[in-house]
Amino acid sequence: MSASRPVPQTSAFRVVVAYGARETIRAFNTNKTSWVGLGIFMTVVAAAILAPWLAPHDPLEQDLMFRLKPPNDVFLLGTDYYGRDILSRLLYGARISLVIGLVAVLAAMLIGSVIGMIAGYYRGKVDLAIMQVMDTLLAFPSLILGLIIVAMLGPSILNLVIAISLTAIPPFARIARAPTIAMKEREFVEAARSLGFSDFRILVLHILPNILPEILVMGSLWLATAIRVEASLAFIGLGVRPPTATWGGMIREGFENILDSPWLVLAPSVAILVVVFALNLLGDGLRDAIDPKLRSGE
Amino acid sequence: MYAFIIKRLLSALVTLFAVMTLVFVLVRIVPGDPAQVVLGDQASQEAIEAMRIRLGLDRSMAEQYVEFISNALVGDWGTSMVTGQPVLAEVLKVLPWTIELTVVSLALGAVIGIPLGVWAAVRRNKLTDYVTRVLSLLGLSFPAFVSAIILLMVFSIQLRWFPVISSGGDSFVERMRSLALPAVNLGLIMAAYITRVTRSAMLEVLGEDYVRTARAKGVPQGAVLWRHALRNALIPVVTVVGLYLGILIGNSVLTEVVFNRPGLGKLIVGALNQRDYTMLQGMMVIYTVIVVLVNLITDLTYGLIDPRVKYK
Repeated sequence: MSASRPVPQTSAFRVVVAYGARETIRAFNTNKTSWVGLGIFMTVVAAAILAPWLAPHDPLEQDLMFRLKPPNDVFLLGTDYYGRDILSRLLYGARISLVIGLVAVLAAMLIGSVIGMIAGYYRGKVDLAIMQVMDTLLAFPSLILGLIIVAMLGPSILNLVIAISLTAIPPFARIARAPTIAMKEREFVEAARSLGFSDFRILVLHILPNILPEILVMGSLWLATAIRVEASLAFIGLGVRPPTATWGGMIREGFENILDSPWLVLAPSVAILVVVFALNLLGDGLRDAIDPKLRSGE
Repeated sequence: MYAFIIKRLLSALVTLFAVMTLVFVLVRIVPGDPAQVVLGDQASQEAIEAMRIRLGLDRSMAEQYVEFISNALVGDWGTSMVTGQPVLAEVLKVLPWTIELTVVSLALGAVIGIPLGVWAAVRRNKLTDYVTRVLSLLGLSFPAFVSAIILLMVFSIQLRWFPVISSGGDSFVERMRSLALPAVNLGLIMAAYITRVTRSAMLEVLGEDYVRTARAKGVPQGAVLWRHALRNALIPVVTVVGLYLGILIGNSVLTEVVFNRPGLGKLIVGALNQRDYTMLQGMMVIYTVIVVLVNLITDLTYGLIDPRVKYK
């Protein structure tokens, strides 16, 4: 864990930010694969944002004259059963995957870290109760939990976000709790407490910056998982309702024509794989960089 | 040892109880009347009323809860709203398929993953290590249904080595042929996870003093690795494999759907599509039982690997 530095009261926030930025770049440079992962991911994000300008066709426009066409000059990745352009659907589908994944993981990160820090800081009965609930949630395989919640609430973007973030909260709570317990015994926290700082201030300004790197790295790895889970749910039939293009949904539809039109399934499959792999590259490289055990071992 | 098992069993029961409560609540916060959903829009008011009584929905929440828990304890998980069969019987009918699939793929994952992880750790920061790391990262990036579809396209549709629908046949050979692709699919993903855990556990152990001592006294490299180092590295591996069970179960659902193979996954997806709430309720309980049992087995396995573990 990074050493704590004396933080002047007036500019505490700025120091934390500057320190964080320097450490982030160092972490990225430790493992060059992180840059590769980030590059690929940002490209996909850009493609998703620019979808309306990049897409050669309307993703929902049906043209029954051009059903199930293999990739050609007009439809670069071919057309689906309803004659819709696969490339355009792929670009718009990226938006759904990214929005659901990002919002779900951000929510889980926020809620999970707060819960974990509270449990670790106050210990006692609060801790016991919180961790029992988290363990119960963890006992469920995440895909099954997600599947049940979406099936019960109905497949909308909001419900998918709720389902995915619920499965991701316990791991974030766990990862925030353990270092908080260790950190609250350290001298700098005791010093802050003896100066009369509020618990809130201590948690946010003194403890959070120390556990933030781990939480952020886990966030990038969970974003990979969230995108994978969203696609899996859509494949089972619990994605955002058609005709909206989602990657998992495209695979589900394409699977019915797999014998004669394999490109329907291949394009979205590759898309999911590339995004998930890029995020894993990013998170995995960063984790190595911030893991103190591995840092000295190189 | 017995005290430890009893203590673990008790805490497992608490978890199970909590999950069953969660299940009860989840099933009841569903928007809409389950009786209406089961019977469809055209059902008459009397029919819906009769169904509500049959499903016990006319009684108070507290009554329903007590009945749900006490019935579940004696193995009565209700009857499927769709087929009318007892839920437990339906679950037990397909359970062997899922157990067969997961056990074989777990074994496959260990057979591939452990040696690969050891090899990567020994060749740390060399080409072998680098390739292994990237490949295993790629392996765990595969959504299970994507890899399943690719296997299906290549080996069933193009090469025709395996059946497209893996529901098996009567003969042993047919059963194995239909198990092969689903097991390879799950096994390779598992292998990716196991390789990574084994590698990092081995890296840690290889730096220990006793490994250096073993080397210094002239123990051959193979014996150092497999007898001294791996034995100690296996504990984190077993722990993590236990934790990955949830991933394995989720992936088995997707695999069963793609290969059209009977099992818990197919059952739960079917129940979802038909809004079979009693079946869903039962499925959630069975999944929890499985997870809790596996965690218990994982804990007990430590003693087999490491005699120092004293089960306190």
